Amino acid sequence: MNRQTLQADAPLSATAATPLLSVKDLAVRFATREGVVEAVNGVNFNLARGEVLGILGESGSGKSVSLRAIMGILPRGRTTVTGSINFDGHELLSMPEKELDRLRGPEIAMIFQEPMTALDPVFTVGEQIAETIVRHEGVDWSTANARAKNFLEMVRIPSPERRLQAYPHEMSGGMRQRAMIALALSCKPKLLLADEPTTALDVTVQIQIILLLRELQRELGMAVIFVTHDVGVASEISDAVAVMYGGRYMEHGPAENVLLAPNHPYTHGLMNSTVHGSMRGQRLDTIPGLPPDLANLPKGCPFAARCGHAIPECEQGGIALSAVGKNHFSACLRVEKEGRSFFA
Amino acid sequence: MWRFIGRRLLYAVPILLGVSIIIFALVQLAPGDVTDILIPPEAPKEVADILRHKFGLDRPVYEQYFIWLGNLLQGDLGVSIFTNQPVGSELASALSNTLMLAIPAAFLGFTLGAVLGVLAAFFRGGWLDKLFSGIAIAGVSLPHYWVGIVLVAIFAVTLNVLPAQGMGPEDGDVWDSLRHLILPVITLSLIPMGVISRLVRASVLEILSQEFISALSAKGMARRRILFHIVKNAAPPTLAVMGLQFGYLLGGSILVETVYNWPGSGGLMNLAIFRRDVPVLSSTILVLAGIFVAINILVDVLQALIDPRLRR
Repeated sequence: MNRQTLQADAPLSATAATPLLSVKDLAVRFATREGVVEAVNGVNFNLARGEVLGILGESGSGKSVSLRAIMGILPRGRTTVTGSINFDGHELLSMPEKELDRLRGPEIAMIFQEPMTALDPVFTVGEQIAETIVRHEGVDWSTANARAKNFLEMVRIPSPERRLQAYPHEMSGGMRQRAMIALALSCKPKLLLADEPTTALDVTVQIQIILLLRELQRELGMAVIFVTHDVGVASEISDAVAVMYGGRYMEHGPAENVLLAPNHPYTHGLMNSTVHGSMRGQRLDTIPGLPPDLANLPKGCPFAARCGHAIPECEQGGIALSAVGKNHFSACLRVEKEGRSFFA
Repeated sequence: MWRFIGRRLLYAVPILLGVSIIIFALVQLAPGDVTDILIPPEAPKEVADILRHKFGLDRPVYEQYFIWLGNLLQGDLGVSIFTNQPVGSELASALSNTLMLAIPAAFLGFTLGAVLGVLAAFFRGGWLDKLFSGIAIAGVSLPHYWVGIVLVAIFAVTLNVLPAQGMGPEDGDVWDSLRHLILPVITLSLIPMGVISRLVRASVLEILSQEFISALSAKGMARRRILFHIVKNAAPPTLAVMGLQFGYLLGGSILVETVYNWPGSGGLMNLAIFRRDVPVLSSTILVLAGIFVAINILVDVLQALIDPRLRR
């Protein structure tokens, strides 16, 4: 039983020498009238260049907030972000807004869940892509427009010339999300943050968008953090998967290990409650209970109250990610105590 | 877009026709007519009948209406029963006096209101927000004739730096005329300033809460460019209210005009009401209604130019 706590600077991917993104002890708190909401509670991970990390979790698990913290777009004033976010040698959390603006767009870009609300309704799609290019590449508007057209072509929007002149409300949901992807890629970022980009779309369109994103990711060699609550989507696109719950990583490792041989009771429950393959007639196991109240988190494991395997010590706290395989980590006291054969 | 403008113009026709009928009917419904004012009560009934005949008041109501409307369509606003002057020239002079106040008052009120509103939204909850909200609420709720009197008391009576009333001598220099504008313009700008600043604050807050603002930050846009996005989104609702406010200013404020002894359109209508001067009253109201409708068409078109979702 050799316990090994995850070192934040230990590369997750064996091929990466220095990680593109290194997040240490990331914590996000919101001050609200009801009290302090602890949305993210000590997240650690490294992301190699070109690696795709899928963050899987229910709503309120802190996955979107983590992305926004990396992007620096959480509402100021009532938000406290602590820890360290190192991107390509830049410490983002201590970086002044003005310098951050030079990274946002050309180095790190983001796509949002609902492209209808993430695009400005009174500007054409072309203007919104071109303004990003003008801002970061210092070219004139006509050059930027020509490039915007190329990007619309790249995300396979038909008749891109005409689409440049279209307003967001004149496009379908799938087209809008393609336009949003074109916008995000327009300055060739090294890191793409995708916040549930397929959740608001029809299932058939979802697949198209996933395939497009995967293809573009390979073509451009960019790293992606893909946040989703959909296990199928996560397995489709990710190299590595992290499972979040109560603002923490419960399990983190190569996608096939985490999804096919889950080690944490929560991941296990999540997989059992997911519809897949030939399950007709079978009972779907749901996880009993509700996600924890982030304004009133328990001291120990946030999942303990719903966990069928919990022991009294689980409520005591101090549960860190520990290695359960090559690059595979799990934050479960019993897994740590009893070894890998927990669910075998 | 041209079809949109054409349709808006077409809509204006029934609106104005309806307005003309309502104006004419209301004036008819008011008891008494001009002869009650023009001749003493002890005068023989025949005198009144001759006068009624002369002014066409003995004709059936619908005939009177169509004669008035026909003349209006030919650009003839009628002749004042009381002064025997063409209504057109009286209205032109009163309206130009009103415009002299309304345009700078609108400009001042709208600009100040927009700036205060945007700043209040950006500093939501801070002391700046509270201060500006206080100013805006005071601007809307203080009776502006009272503010006018207070301003006169301070700047004309006590400090003696600005004229108390009037437009200044006809042959006065430009500076003198401008000095006469200052107090009434400030007084008139208070309500538009308050209304616009409250509205702009609310719309900017609503826009700031939207996802596309986060998305703009996420693509590293400059603050100035983000402000441009906010302004363009806030513009359509703000323009709508600005159009209404400017319309109210054109109607002239009888109270403010009285305080500053300013011969504007409010005073003209007020006088016409007391004199039962039907041609002046009805033509003035109809012209003002026409301007009001025109401003709103202009606002509709501007809104549609800014926000494509409104081009229906």
